[in-house]
Amino acid sequence: MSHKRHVWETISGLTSRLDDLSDDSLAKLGEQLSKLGREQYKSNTLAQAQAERLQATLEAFQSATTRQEAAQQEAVQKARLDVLKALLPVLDGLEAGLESGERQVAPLAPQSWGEGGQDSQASAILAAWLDGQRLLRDRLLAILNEAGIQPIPTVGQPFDPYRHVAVGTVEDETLPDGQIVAEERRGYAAGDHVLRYAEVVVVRNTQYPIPNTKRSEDTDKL
Amino acid sequence: MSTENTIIGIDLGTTFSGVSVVQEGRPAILPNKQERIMPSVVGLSPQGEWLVGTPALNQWVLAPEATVRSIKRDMGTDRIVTLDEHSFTPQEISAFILRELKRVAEVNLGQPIKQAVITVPAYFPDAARQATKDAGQIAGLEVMRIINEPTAAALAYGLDREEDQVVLVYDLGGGTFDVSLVELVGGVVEVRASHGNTRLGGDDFDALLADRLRQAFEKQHGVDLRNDRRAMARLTRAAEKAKIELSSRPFAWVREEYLTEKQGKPLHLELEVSRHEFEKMIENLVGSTRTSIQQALTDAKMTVKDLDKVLLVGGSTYIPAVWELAADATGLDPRQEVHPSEAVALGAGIQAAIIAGQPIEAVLVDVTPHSLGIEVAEWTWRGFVDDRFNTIIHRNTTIPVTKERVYSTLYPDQDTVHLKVYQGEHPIASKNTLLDDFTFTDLKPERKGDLARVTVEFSLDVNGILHVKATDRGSNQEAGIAVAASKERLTQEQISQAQKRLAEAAPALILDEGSQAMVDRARKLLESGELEPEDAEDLIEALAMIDEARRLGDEAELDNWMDELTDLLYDLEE
Repeated sequence: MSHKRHVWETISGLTSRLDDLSDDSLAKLGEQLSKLGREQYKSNTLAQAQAERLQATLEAFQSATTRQEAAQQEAVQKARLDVLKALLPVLDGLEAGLESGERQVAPLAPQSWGEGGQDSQASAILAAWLDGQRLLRDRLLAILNEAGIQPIPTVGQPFDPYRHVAVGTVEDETLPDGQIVAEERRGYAAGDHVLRYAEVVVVRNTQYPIPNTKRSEDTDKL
Repeated sequence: MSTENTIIGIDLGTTFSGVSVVQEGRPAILPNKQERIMPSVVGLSPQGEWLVGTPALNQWVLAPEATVRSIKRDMGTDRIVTLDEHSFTPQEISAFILRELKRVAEVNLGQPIKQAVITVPAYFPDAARQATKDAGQIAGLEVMRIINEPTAAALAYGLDREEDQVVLVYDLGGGTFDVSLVELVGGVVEVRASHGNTRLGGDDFDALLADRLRQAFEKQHGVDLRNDRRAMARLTRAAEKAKIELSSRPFAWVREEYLTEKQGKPLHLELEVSRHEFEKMIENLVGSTRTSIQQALTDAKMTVKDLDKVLLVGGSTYIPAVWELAADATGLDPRQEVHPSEAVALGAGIQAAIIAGQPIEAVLVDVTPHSLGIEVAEWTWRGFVDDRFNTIIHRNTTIPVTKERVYSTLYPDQDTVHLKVYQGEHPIASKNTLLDDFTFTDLKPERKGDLARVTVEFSLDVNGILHVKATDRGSNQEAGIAVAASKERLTQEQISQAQKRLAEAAPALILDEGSQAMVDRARKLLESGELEPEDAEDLIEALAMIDEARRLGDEAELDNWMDELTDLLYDLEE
């Protein structure tokens, strides 16, 4: 009851004060009201703009973080592969050494010597040393393998310009055109990522009679 | 960045090509997986598949009649290229390369690309330029502009935004050389003269060094490797690697194990090559470029005094002897801080961004603003003259950088040197800034009775810290210090100019945050296109008057129009 009464009193008080107001002060009040309204409107707009900006900043930050993480991962992977790629010539050297060593040892096969001679002992030492080298090579290959790096298959495979570089050709009627017959430098790849192209010798039996370029006056077409 | 019509920049080179685009204000090379530049080679595989770039180059030895290299040399001629049984014009072959670069750009940017800027050599005749444009069209690219390679290089250095100047662009790549005189007037770039040799480059240097390695091997082991393809391929690769190493060091080791066998005995090559030897080998080839510089100057009716800058472009300009030659022939410090192999492609990307109206910042690189070196004594006709400044790292070199030089002692039994590290440009050491000094003792000559030799390595890191390391070649012992050198991105002059420009452009009154939000809201509403024409006009007027009041610094007027704008917006949105 008292609440209703209070509201009524306030309203009637206001009405009576309004009655006392001149036109001039009414206009002033109106102006103040509209100024208040403008302020209110302005601050609403500002709040909205700030909220939008915050949201946009947040989104930009999130996308930048995602991009940065991806770029970082890519950079790490690249650096890793670069380091391993720099090791490939070491592997080449080990392979060449092994191959050369095996060629030296083969003619000294144990059965061709007398029993327990000095030669046989030297050869046994050499063979064991060579085994050590093989283990060393395998250790290095295992490190590469762990990083997903595999030698690119060559001999017996068809030439693939996305994995092989042709460094020579041979004629061999018994083999199909484009088949790889020898590997001059081993290639390595991590999946689709070729670290080093394999350098290969390829069969080529077809002779192409057409020269690469001609002056137009030599051609029938023009 | 407008994502709808991005224009790419293409460096369509004789041996290599590249593509770039301006992203977030900066030009960047768009790589094809791990390759930043792509061989300019086109091939048709035996299976009838088109190959472009490295795969095409890979089949060159197997199918030379189905592989095309260096097609750029034939642009603008009526040459017909026959691949297998098909005939092609040079434009069509070039189009394969352009189409691949377009694809690389699309993969990188994730959007279709329809427009490009392509660079050509300054000496290209009109027919070759037209052919290049045609090639672009065949590849599905609207060629917005054909620009000269030296112009692109100048753009990569941001020279179009500097004062008027004359620039010499020295471009020594893998297989071609040219020098151009470029004049920049009011932001417009014009090539005044160009001269060169289309068959000179880094590959020639590799071949010379590889041959020297072959001779050294023959002398040591009595085996001629000329007919051993596999060994020769290894020597060529080793030569290229040594060449690159000699750009920053005075010596490089060449170690090639199991090169071949002689009567079952494996033979290896182990050899130290000095920069001095290498420079002697290539002296004539590098020296020949001096004639081209003079010819270009004569053609442009200029002298070296007219030159303001020298830019080095192309991978072979990393060779110190090339830098020295360009410096000596022009009397200027050549600039090469923008990656020499990529500068032309980056410049093409900048031209593309200018056409597209994109904002551009210069290629941002950290450089050392002062030369760094040590005090030495020089032998002249008057005997030894001391207090000479010997530069190890030239100013404007991109950092991080490591450079080495070798020095010898003055007297046969001298076992101590005092190293004084200076920064500056004056030939008299003490007139530069002394950074630090240290004494290096117990030096031993490599051979008894010789002068001891010391390798001095300067390594300037990204933080501007200079690490100095001295190594005695006789005993292998080392000594070193680290000192702070200065680095910079912008010169003080550039900064104050930028500040001045900013001050000129800025209005007198700054809007408070609330008012700015109102103005933004009004602009957004206008852009939405949902307003009645007369309402839009009212808003435009209010915004214009606000700008005007801000410019004039009229606070009362600004308040009035802000109120007006608020009322307008309130009415429109309620």
